[in-house]
Amino acid sequence: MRVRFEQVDEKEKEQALIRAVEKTADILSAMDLLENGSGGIQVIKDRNTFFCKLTQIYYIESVDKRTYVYTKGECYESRDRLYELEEKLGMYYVRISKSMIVNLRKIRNVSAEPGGRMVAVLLNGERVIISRSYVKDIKRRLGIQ
Amino acid sequence: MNITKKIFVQSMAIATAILFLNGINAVIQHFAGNDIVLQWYHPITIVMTGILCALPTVLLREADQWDRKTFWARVSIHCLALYVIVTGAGWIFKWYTDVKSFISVSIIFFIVYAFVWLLSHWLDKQDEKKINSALDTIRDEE
Repeated sequence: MRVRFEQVDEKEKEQALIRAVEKTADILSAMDLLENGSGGIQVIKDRNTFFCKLTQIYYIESVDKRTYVYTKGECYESRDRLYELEEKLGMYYVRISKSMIVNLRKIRNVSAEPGGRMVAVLLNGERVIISRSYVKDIKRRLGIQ
Repeated sequence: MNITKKIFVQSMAIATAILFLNGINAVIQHFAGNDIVLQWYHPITIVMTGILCALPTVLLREADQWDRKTFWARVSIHCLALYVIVTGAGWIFKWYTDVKSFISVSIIFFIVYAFVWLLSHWLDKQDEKKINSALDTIRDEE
């Protein structure tokens, strides 16, 4: 397959278009890599280190200078700070408050509340708050004008 | 947006809104047979009221961090603070000719306050719809 690279000036403009006859395993893994970055981050639970795939993460929260990574039913700790993780995560991870990053692919729906904030209901039923000042970033990331 | 810039933008917005509503009121009154004549000091007092009204915005800083109860309590205090400023300014700057004009200013104030909140919430609801339809296209299956 011929691969072409074109430079853009903004992260929001980044996109990859794959033209192929069918979605083969190679193409699916390329899509996964492009959408979710290098694939995962190292997390800790009960002093054991695990590799957590980015596709499993629901949200990441910083509490008292500690960083917690939440999957469907588990909570892990990360040695990285929130801003450091922000760099490593894929395009579907977006900051929704000073202390939280959410995986947009795990949001079931959002609802606006008076005052400008939004409440996001995740696929596991958990609810997280999207601060007003971050709604613009989410819209930009989702390609909404 | 930092708080100084926010207060400045709001001052201008409020002053414009007051002038706009006064303009509409003057047109209505004219066709009802009562011409309203502005005094030389009226425009500047409107701008000053705009600045004073923008100050209680500090009460609503980081409103998106509060729980529902705190939010509505602060909004109520904000609304009352603005009402006191507007009616107080009207009294100091002699906007009222009689009790009727005081009542009409009060009614207009509460209508505008509710309208601004409803408009802002309606805009947020439009964002909600757009975000939800965009999320539909990328959502993982669980």
